[in-house]
Amino acid sequence: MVYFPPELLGAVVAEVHSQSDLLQLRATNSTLNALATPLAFRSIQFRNTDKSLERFKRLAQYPKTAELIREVVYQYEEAGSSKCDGRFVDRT
Amino acid sequence: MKDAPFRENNVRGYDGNAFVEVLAHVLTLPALEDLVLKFRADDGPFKPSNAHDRDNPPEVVIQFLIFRFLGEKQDYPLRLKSLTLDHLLPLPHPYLESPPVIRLLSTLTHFAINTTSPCPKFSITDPQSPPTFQLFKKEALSSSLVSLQLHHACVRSATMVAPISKVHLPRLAYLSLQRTYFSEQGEVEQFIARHGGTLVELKLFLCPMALSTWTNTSRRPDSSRRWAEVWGHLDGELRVLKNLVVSERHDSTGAEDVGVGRYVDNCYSCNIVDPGKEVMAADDTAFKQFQKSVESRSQAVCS
Repeated sequence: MVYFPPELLGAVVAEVHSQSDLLQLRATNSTLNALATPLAFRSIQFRNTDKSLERFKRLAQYPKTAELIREVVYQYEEAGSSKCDGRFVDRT
Repeated sequence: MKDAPFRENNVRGYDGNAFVEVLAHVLTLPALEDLVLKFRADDGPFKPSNAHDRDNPPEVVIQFLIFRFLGEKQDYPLRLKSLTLDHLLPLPHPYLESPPVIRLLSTLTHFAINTTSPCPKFSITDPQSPPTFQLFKKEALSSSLVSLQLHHACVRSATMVAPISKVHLPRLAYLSLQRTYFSEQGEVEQFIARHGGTLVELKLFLCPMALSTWTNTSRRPDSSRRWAEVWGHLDGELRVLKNLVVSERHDSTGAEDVGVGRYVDNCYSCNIVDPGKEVMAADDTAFKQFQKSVESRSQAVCS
């Protein structure tokens, strides 16, 4: 792995599209960290849930990740759906 | 104010503060180019509210929060290239005409507006009612646009989204329309023809010809615009078109929809009309000729 040409490693990492895989690659070593980090934070999604909003805020507040974000996707999530934690659940 | 009900109730029962705080962060991201806003999970019917009658559906409340925030925020440094408004409930909204929103749209090269199904809470979103508003003003469609997508979840007019009869986009190369009706008035047809010098791709999914644009009236088919005339007109005008997709049975995702015919009686009720074999055959012949012109152009590029 150490002797792999960086161009080849870059081409392999570019084919990884799952964000969780990219995040794991980042943790492997410094070379893969440098290659995977821009791709891992290129597109970020947030939802109308406490957990999701908090996570997005952390990423956007940290300058090193904020400057990598090229695409933001907001996805509405219905209250009561499996992933929703109730931020927009009616409290009246 | 057309959105007065929102002003009274918009955050009643909901905590929008955390959401708005995140929006503020979005608008300061230094490298942000693409923004996708999916206002609903899907285009299915709106669920009836089990709370008070005054409550608006939460997805509509959030849609309002987003537009209000964009319209009131004056100083964001964004230079967006692409904006997608997905599952958008077409409601009149003064913030969409505000200078900050017009500035936000002014740098776009790709703009996609996908409207969702009507919401019973707002009768003006019902496609059976004559439209009394336009979502965007002429200025919202920037001269920088290269790609424009207007997709509807039910048959609606294009002019409800923006006054396309007054717009010329000098760089427009890609146009995709879905469930957008054509008519004798020819606003959509003229809009497409007007971009004949730049359009290289045209996609029409489930776009019917409305024989009448008057509520609850059906005009005799023999006095209305025919697809054969439209195809002949576009064949003459679209001089650089290299990719043509026309689907009468499937939407842009490939899902089958047999509820929209080639001709419908009027643009509100959208009952399918059979104009007769001769008309259909003439349409098919004109379309094949149009398709042949496009194919010869794309093959000339490949060879």
